[in-house]
Amino acid sequence: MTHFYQDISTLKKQFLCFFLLFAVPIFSQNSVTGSVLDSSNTPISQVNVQIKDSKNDKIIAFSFSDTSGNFRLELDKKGLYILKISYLGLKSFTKEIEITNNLLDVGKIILEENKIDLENVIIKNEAAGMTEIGDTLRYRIEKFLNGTEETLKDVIKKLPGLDIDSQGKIKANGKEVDKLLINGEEFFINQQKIATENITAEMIKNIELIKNYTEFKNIKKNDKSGITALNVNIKEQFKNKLTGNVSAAAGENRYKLHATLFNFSKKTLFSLISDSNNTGELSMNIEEYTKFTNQNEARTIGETTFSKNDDLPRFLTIGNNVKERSSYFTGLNLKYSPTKKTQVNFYSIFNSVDQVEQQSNTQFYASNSGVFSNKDSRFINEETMFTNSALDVAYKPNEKSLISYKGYFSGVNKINTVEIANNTNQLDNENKLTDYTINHQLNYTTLYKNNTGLNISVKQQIIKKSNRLNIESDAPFLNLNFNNSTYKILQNSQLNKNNIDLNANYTFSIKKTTNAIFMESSIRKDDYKTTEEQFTQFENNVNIENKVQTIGLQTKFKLFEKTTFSSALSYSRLQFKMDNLNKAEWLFMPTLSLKTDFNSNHYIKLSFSQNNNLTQAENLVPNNVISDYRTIFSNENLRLSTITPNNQLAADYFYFNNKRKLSIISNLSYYKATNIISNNSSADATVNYIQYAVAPFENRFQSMLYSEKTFSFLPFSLRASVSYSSSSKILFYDRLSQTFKTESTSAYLSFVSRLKKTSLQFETGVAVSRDNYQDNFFSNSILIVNPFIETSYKIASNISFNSTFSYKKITAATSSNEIYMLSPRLRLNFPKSKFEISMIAHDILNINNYEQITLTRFDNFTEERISQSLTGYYLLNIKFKL
Amino acid sequence: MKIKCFLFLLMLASINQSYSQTLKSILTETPLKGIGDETELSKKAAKPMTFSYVYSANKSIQNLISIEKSSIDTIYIEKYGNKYETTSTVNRSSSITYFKNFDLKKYKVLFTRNEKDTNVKEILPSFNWKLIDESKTINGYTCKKATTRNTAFNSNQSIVAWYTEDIFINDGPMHYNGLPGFIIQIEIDDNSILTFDKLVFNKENTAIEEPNNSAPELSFSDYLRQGTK
Repeated sequence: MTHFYQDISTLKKQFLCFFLLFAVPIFSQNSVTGSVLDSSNTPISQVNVQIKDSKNDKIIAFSFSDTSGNFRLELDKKGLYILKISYLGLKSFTKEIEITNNLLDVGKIILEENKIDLENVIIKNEAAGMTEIGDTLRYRIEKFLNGTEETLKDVIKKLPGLDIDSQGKIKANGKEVDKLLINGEEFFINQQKIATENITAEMIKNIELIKNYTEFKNIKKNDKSGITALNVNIKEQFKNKLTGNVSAAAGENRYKLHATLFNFSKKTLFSLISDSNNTGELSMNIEEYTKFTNQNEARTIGETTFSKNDDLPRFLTIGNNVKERSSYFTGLNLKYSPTKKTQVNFYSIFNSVDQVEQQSNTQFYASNSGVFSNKDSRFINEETMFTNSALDVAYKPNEKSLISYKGYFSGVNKINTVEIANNTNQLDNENKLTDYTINHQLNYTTLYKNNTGLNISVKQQIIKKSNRLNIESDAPFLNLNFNNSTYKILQNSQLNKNNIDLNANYTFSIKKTTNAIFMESSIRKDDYKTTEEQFTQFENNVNIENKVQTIGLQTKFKLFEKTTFSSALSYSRLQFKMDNLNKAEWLFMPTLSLKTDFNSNHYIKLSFSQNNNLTQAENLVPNNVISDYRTIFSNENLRLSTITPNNQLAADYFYFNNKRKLSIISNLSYYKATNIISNNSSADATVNYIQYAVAPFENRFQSMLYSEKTFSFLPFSLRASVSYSSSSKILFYDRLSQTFKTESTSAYLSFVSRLKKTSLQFETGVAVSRDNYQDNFFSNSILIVNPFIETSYKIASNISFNSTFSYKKITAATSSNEIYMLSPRLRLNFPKSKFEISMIAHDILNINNYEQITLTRFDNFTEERISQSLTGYYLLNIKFKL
Repeated sequence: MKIKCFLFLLMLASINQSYSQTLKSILTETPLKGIGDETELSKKAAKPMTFSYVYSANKSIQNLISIEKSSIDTIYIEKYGNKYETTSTVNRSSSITYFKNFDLKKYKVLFTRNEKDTNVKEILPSFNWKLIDESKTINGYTCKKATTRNTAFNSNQSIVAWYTEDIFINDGPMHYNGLPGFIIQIEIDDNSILTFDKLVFNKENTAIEEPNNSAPELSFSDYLRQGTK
C-alpha cells in the first residue's frame, strides 16, 4: 500500500516535472541583458537601468548593474520599449529596443561624461519659488502671481528675470529668448507676441528657462548650444483635448472678435488663432514681420539692402499715429511628431490691415542756399494683405544623422494711396506693391566616430517684387516737362532675385581642439527693372550675377581651464558680372572670440569680426527712379565691385546668481565700416534728389547695462537698465561732405512688487530717453520722460482689476507735447461657469481724436509730423471658454 | 616598471575622477505618532530629528546632526482627587549612523543610546517595490510613488516611497534603496515621515570611510541575542 502511495507521489512529481517543462516556454520571461562601461572601458556598478513603455514613458522594469557592470531585466511581454541607462555624473543613454526573442543582449553600452557644469547643478531656492537644475531654471509660477493674470504675457511679466518688451519679445535677464517651447516642444515659431497674448494664464502649470537648449535638429550633444529657450508646461487638464475661447467685445463704433483654439497632445500640438478688430490693435509686430519675410540663415558674406523703409507695410512702422485702423488675422500652427525620430512643424498666417492716416508735415531741408521747408498735408489710405506659410520637416534615422527640409512662402500685397496738398500742387500718389518670396533648403548632417561630422545643405531663395507707382497732379511736379498738361507719372519697377547656395561643413577634433572646414558656393542673380510711360530717364535695367566661393576653417579650444578661444577664418572669391563687366576679388574674413566662463552663470566674452557688405542691384541704377512726388533716386558712384568692409568689436558680460537674486548684463560694441554706401542729396523747392554714393566711413558705438535685484528684506525687485549709443556717418549735401552724428541715451528704472500677503501687485518706474542728432546744418534733440504705474489687484475671488497709467512728456527743440494715458480693465469670472465678462477701457483720457507730434530724421531732411492718433475707447467683452 | 604601474594607476584614478560626483543633503525624520497604546506623542517625542547625508561613489552615509538625548520627565496626574507621580521617558540615541556600500552590498547601523555604543552589520536589504502611477512634487522635485513592505530587521511596516527619476542614485533614507531614482521621501506606516531637503551636488568625489565605534561589529541576530541577555 505504502508502495502504491510512493508510486503515486513519484508519478505526481513526474507529472509536475513534465508540466514544468511545458510551463517554461509558455510563461517564459523575456530578458534584456547588457553591460555598462565608462569611457575608459571600466565597468560601472549600481547603474540605473530602466525599461520604459515607449508610449507613455512608464517604467515597466528596472534594475542596477553589478560590480562587473552587467545587468539583466525580465519582461512579461514582447514589444517595443525604451531602454534608459543613467548614472550620476554621466550622460544618460536612451535607446529604443524591440523584444522579439526571449533574450535580447544590448551588448556593451558606454556612458559618456556629462558636460554640464556640475558645480551649479542644483540650487534650490524654495522661498524664491525658483529651482535651478543644470541649465534649467524652473519657476513655480503660483509664487509670483496674484490671480489677476489673463495671458502668458501677464505671467511672464511678473516672473523675476523675465520680461516682455514693447515689441512683444520675451526677454530673460535682459537678453532676448531665442525659442518658445510648449511642453518642451518648439512651437509658435517666430510668433512670440501671438503666443504670449493668446495662451491663457490658467493653462500654465509652470515655466522653465533653459540656457543651453538642445534642439531636436541638433545632433552634436557635446557642445553647449548657447540657445536660450522658454518652456511653458501646460496643465494636464488642458492637454489631449480641444481647449480655447471665443470672445466678442463691442463699444461705441468699436468691436473686437477673438477666437483661440488649442490642442496639445503628446504627438500633436495645434493652435488656431483668429482676430478681427477695428480698435487699432495689431497681431504682429515689425520684428515678427521681418523674421517671417527674411528667414535667412547666417551667411558668410553680409548684405545690406539700402532699404527705403517704404518696403515695410506702414502699419508696422507708424505705431498708433493713425486715424483709423482695422485688422483681421488668422494664424494656424501645427506640430506633429509621429515618432521620436520625426518632427514636422507647420504654420500659416494671414493678416490684412486697412488703415487711414491724416497728417500735416513740414520738411526742413538743408542746401547750400540755406535751410528751407516744404509743407504738405496728407491723407493716406493703405490696405495690406500679408501671408506667410512655412513647413519644417526633420528626420533622424538614427542618433547620429539628420535630414531636414525647410520651406516657406511669404507674400505681401499692398495698396497705398496718398492725397497730398502742398503750396503748389494737389496730388494723388498711389503705390501698388506685390512681393513674393520662396525659400527652401535641404540639409543633411551626420556624425562619424571620433567626433567627426559632415553637414551638407542646399538652399534656394527666389524673390519677386513689383511696384507700380501712379502719381497724378493738377500742376507740374518733379521738375518734369509733361506733355499736353496731363501731369501723370506711371512707373513700374520689378526686382527679381534668385540665389542658390551649396554648403558643406566637415567637423573634426585634433587633440583638444574642435575644428571645422567649411566650403560654400553660391550664385546670386539679381535683376532690377524700372519703366515709366512718358519719360525715358526713369528706365533702368540692371542685371547682376555674383558668384561666391568660400573656404574657411573654424577652430575652438580651451586656452586656459576656464577660457575658450574660437576662431573662424574664411577666404572668399567673388566674381561679379554685370553687362559686359567682369571682375573678381578675394576677401578675407576673420572672426575671433575669447570667452571666460567663471561658471555657467557668469562669463565674459570678447569678440572681433570682419565682414564685407556688397552692393545690391537696386543701388546700381544707371538712370533715375521716382520714389514719391518730390523724391528721385539715382546712383552717383556706386559700382558693382564696391565692397564695404567693416570691423566689429564686442564685449559681453553676464552674471546671474539665483541665491543673491541678482543679475547683471553688460554689452559693449563698436562697429566701423569704411567705403560705405551713403548718399549725396540736393534739394530744392520741388524736388529732392538722392544719389547713392560712396562715403569714407561710418562708426557706431553701443553700450548697455542691465541689472535686476530682488531684495530679501524688501518685497521688491529692482530692474534698471542704462544704454548709450552713438554713431557718425558721412553724408553729402550738394557734394559737400557732412558728418551726421547721432547720440542716444536711455535709462529705465522700475520696481516690481513681490508682496506676499496681499493680492495687490504693481510695477512702477520711469523710462527716460534722449536722442540727439546733429550735422553741419541741423541739430535737434528729443527728450522723453515716461513715468508709469501698472497695478493688478484681485478684489474678490472672481473679480480682478488691472490698470496702466502713464505720463509721457516729449520735449523737442521747438515743440513739446504731453500725453496722459490711463487704461483700466475689470474682469469678472463666474465660478463654475464658462463665461467671463470684462470691461475694458483703453486710453480713456484721449477719447476724442487727438494729435501727436513726431520728429523724424530722413536722409537729408527732418520732418516734423503732426498726425491724428488712435483714440481711446470702451469695450464690453464677453468670453466663452470651451 | 613600478613607475609605469604607478602612472597607470594614477591615470585610472584620474579617469574615475572625471565623472565622480557627490550628493549632500539634509534628511529630516518627523515622528507622527507613537506605536502602541498611547499614540499621541509628547512634544519632546514628536521633535523632528535631522541627519546629514552624503552619497559618493556607490557609498552613502547618514549621520544624526541634531542634538538628542534621552530624558525622563516627571508628570503629576490627578485622579480621584489624588496626585500620582508618573514619568515619561523619551529614549533617544545621541548618535546614529547609517552606512551603505552598494558594491559590497553592505549595510551598517551604529548608534549610541544612553552612552552605550552599538555597531550592527548586515547584508544590504533589498525590497520588492511596487511602482504606482502617481506623482507629486516634493521640495521642487517631481516624485513618483512606490510601495513595499519592510520586513527587514524584524519589522513589518507598510512603506510608501516618493522617488525622483531626475536623480540617478538608487539610494534613500536609512536602509531603503533600490528604486529607479533617488528616494526623496519615505512614509513608514503612518508613524513617521523622512524627507530629504537642500540637495547639493558637487563635482568632486567625497571619500566615505566605513564607520566604526567602540562596540564590536555584530550581526542583527547577534545584536538581538545580546539584547535579551
